[in-house]
Amino acid sequence: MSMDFLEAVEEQLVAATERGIKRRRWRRPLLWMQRLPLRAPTVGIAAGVGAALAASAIAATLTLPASKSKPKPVEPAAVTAGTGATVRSFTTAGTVPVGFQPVSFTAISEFSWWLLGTAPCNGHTCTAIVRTTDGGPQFTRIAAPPTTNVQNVRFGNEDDGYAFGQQLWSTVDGGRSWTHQQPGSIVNDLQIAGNYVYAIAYRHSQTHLMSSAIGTNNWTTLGGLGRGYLSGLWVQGSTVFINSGTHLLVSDNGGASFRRVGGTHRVSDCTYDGGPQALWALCSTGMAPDDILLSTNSGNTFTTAAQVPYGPIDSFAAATGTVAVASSQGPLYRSGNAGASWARVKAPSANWIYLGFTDATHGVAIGGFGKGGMQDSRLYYTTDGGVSYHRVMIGP
Amino acid sequence: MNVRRDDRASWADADLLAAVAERDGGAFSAFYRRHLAEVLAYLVRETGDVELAADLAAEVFAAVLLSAARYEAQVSSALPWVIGIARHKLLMSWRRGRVEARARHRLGLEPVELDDLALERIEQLADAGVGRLEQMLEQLPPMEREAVRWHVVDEVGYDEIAKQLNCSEMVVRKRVSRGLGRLRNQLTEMGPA
Repeated sequence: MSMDFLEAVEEQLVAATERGIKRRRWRRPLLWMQRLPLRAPTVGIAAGVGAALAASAIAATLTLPASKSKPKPVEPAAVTAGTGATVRSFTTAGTVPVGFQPVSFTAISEFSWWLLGTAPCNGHTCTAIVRTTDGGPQFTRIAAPPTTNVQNVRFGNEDDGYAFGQQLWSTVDGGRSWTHQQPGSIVNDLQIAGNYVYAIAYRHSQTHLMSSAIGTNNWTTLGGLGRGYLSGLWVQGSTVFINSGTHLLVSDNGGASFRRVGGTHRVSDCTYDGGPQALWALCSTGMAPDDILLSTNSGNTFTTAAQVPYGPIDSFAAATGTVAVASSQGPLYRSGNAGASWARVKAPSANWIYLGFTDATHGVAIGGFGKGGMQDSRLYYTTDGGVSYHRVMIGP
Repeated sequence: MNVRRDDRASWADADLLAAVAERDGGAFSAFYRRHLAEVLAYLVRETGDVELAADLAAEVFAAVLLSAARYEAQVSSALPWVIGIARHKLLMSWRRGRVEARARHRLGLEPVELDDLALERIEQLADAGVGRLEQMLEQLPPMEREAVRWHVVDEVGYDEIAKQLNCSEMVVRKRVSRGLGRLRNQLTEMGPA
């Protein structure tokens, strides 16, 4: 008799029960939500920004649960689709909706950014996308896909963008219209590099790495990755890094072929940032503090950085081969010496769900504030390589 | 498969979890079978995706195994505790942008393929789980049921519910609190499924 999924899971877990669990030393994290948040000055982020941003888009990959307890004046945004079902989304352009909560960020230049988030509408939580073309002082709303099943946004240029999560939607006209794509039942990650977009799609209980020329939606599955659970996609130029489940794989030809690197570390749950020559990895270790690793030889070997205080780490970003920031149970920490030590950043404590750099000095952070860090999502910006962060106001 | 059928099926949840902590595989099997349908029902409802729900359910029960020794019984059923784990795993998955798999990695579990037949079975199980949850809700007085459904299931704030029901926030809070109290009692009376 063939064993089905649920029985196979049961059998593995029964076997694990009988093997017993190796106990880890567990250091209880500080309850960061009990601390008083510091106040950061609120500034327009265009001021003082000098260096041009990296050409590749950067984007938030994480999602903040929608605010539950502070409904604000609502704007009629829900629309009725052809099926008669109500779509909870701001599907038209306009002003930034009241109560907009950013959850995902992407930028293609110093001044051109998009934020996907949620806002109250007709008693519900609706999807909304806002953008700025002047680096932050002014935001406007663009049309969002007619769904709440997207939590992330990426744009590769002014026209071609993607919103994804449980569904994948694409636009080729700057968000005026969106098309539902179906490379899989869920898209775990999506990265844009040059003229190509790469996505980890989940289909038939397997993860697949797909790619398409940007704007064409002509998805093909990339091979040579084994049958493990794919995660940790990181792309720059034609270099593609990805976890195959137990190994780190790299491609130097845009995913046409992959080879195994990083054999000395378990990479089943790592995310990557930086560049091929100084590749940082944040690796989950289960309930113990997470590991931050650094490779200076294209992922062939890694050294372990000093532990960030109060791990596990919520989010992480690298600015250069020596500078990185990490959020750990509330505060932000920064290393300016390739992970040898970490110092507290001048920023409030928050549920930091996203950190990212666009070049060596400029970067953003999205933090959740309020009870449990889940009630009020705010955007912060750094112009000094993560030494300090300042709040960016979005709409009313 | 190696199914263990014995008197563990009649054990209380707290006893099963205590036994799991002592490496009793049969106790884990009994606990898994007792609560799988409700966990699947919850995850299918939240994600709208049977495959994703199945994957997350595996992660939830891996976390149950890791946490069994720390379980402290509040009521006779551990279902609220398990659903709490499921909710946490779901939130972590959305936050991290990928299906949470820490517990499975920690236990060294192998990925399991999911075929169409299994999907069908999972859908059926989830439906059965929805039935049980709905059955419990249906036994609440109408006003409490409505308040619990809006606040707990649909995650609408007290103030918004009050506006919709044209009553004070305090009244809504009381209805939710009483409704949840009744659900707890139901779970206590029902004991193991």
